Amino acid sequence: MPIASRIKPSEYHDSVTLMLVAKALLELPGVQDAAMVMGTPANREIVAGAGLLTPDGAGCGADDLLIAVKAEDDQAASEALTRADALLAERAPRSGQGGTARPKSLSSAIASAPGANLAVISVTGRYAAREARTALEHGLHVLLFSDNVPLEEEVALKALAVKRGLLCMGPDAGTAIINGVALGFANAVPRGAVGLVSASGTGLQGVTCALARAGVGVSQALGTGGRDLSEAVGGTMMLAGLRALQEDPGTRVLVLISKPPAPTAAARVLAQLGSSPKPAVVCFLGADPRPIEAAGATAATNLTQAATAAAALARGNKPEAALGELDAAGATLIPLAGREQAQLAAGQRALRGLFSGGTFCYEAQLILKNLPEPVHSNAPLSKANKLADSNTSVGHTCVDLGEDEFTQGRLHPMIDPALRNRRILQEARDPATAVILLDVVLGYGAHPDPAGAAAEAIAVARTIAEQGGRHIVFIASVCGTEGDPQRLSRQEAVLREAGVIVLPDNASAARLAGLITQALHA
Amino acid sequence: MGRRAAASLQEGVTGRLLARFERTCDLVTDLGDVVALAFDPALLGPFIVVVAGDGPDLRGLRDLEGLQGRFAVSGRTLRLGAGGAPALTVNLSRVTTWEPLPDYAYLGAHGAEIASRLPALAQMVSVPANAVFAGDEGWQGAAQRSIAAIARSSRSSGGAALAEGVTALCGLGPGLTPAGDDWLAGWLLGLRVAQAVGGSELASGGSRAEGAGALVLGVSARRTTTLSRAFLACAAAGEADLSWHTLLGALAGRRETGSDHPAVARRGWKSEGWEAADCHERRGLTPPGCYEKCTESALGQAVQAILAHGATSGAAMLAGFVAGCAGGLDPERAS
Repeated sequence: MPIASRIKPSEYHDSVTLMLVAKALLELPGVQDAAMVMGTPANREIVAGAGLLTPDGAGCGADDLLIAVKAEDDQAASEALTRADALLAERAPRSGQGGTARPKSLSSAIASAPGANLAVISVTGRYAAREARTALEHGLHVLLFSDNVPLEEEVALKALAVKRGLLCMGPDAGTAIINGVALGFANAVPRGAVGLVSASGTGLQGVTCALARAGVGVSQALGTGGRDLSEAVGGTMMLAGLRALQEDPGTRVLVLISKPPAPTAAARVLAQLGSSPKPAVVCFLGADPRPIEAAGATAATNLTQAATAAAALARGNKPEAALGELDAAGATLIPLAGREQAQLAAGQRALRGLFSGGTFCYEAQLILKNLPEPVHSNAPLSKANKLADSNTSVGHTCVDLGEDEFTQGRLHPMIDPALRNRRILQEARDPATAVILLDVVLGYGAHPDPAGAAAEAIAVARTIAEQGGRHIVFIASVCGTEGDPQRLSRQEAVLREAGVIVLPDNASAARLAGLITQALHA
Repeated sequence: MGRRAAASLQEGVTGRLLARFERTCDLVTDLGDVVALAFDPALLGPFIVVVAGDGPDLRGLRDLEGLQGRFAVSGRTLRLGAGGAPALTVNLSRVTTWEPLPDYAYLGAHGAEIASRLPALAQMVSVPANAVFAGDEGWQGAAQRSIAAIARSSRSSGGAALAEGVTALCGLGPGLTPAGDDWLAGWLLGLRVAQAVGGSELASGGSRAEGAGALVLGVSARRTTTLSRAFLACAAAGEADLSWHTLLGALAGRRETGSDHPAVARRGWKSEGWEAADCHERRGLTPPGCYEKCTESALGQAVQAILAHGATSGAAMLAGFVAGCAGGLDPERAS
């Protein structure tokens, strides 16, 4: 197989560029292996060890960029090197392309776009509050992706936003849909009458996608950031968003989503519901439904219930009948669980949930909490079940791979599935693993083919398990819509072709996983 | 600008463009010193000159190949690009000099606090470090072996095993600054911190940190890139970027207060007493609880800022730092 190399003398590119171009080379047709490294002696040894070092390549110096490819034939090798040149040039604009000044600060950006009314801010936490404050002081709403913003700064920012009649969505808010425009990790959903405010990003995605599946549209979907309903923040932005939706003529049904709120924050929010006749659905995952019902709202115990109830209300119907049908549909999972359980070997008793969405991980744990043995997690329901090492599963385990410990300095698993794929293989090597449960999240900002990426890992995982005389049950749900770039139906088909049991929502998927696992312990 | 940049950009100095990126460009003087211009004050470091205001995308300046890629300092102005209309001019006459050496005496005085926070730092770093160095790629196996050899030999007087480990790791790995170099830079800083908080000295006299620094300096002269060598030279001297000063401060329980613009970071270090009191007053909580919240958030922020460097540089350097602290720290003397 021919090997070709190119030396770019004294050519420096930033590390992200090098990484992305190297990855792109490996994905080119006909390319078997590729290297793109600085030509230091140590790197030349590694490249030589991989069989990629040509005599030309051996002559490069430490300050030179060494590109080497092994391809099926000379043409593929040559085309790969040409492509590498093009990609490197693309990412480093030369004269005539990038010589004019672009705004590099928020203040100058605001000056250059006077009609803007929303700032999307994603800088490291240390500087995020300052930038958000600048935006608010200039009269812009804010969507603040950044996390690691101190709590007291969040309180101050939201107070400033309320004072100025603005929204401060975040910190740690990654999803919103404003006037039909998806921001951050969000999905293509139809416009309609349901308005949502959520302290959970994937919660918001889950409900908006389920509404879309039901043919019901969204007026606005506002994110508040994960700490909004804490004692300290007091639900400030959920209240502000709720008031805005109560006054919005385009919104006829209200949906609120969060993990369990602090009691005082919940009380404030529920009290606000009474000031509008618009029907409301409240999904405070894991919380007592009684205060919600006492406030006159429909309590949903999971995201699917929230969407089902909201869809019914949007159609002018009472939600009870639709919720009853949803419960009844759950019974169809029992025979399926029995069939799957019968294929498992003795010793296979563990459920391993690998999630890219934190709320899906949490929701799954709620559904699985009555299993005979506890479910461990890096983001557990109870501290007693916290994993000592998030990299290693113990018994039943549900891992939130989107948690900070996995995403510090790395792309989120919704964008880069590599970490989860490695974990799938790790779980497949564990003879105790019976069920692997996955969420697959589509939409803008997400990986272009998350099901395809997962399917590759699943195929390898199956081989690993089969070599050990085992079968693993793969269960997944896809959070997305037909309008998403990845297309919901195509993604579900890819997973089914890989032998995955695909269910329409995370709650059903978790329920099936629980039924199979429960039978193993019976 | 950092002290090294100030020393390098004397009147009459000339040099060439080494590399340019969106927000920075690297220069090397004809004497071999690296200096970088940066439009982002968060990038302040030993050889960085922070240039005020928004600037052009440096990659898109008039083509600076060949003679056009030369610079000269004259009349306290740096001119990049030959001829009468240089591509970039930077007025150096009003710039203040920033000291890149952390206050190791301060760190030493807060050794117990630093030691108490190292496990939390190690935990924050473990997953991103794993993502860089754990894996089946050829260089990763070589890196893991080298790191293990360095860790094994770091408590002894060093010797051949240490030299072999450093030599194998230097220049190894992907990235503009190879990941192995990033690890070594962090390791050297970690050894300095460990020495400051009471790590044991080499039996033969002199400090482990200085000995390791000299070793890395010597090896890097023949094993890595010009830019990476410059970073390693700073680390060998115990110098660090602003983002690392912030991390060290957070480890010692300090968070910068007052002006939050890093370009006006004060010389000298504040005690964290004011910070804790401020939190206490604003939140009405008892100082211990408030203090913990401030510090945990500050450490997390500092780690996050470093992890944002490059594709893997931040994670690799943090991994080295944790190893350096662990390898150099004598727990009895630190407490």
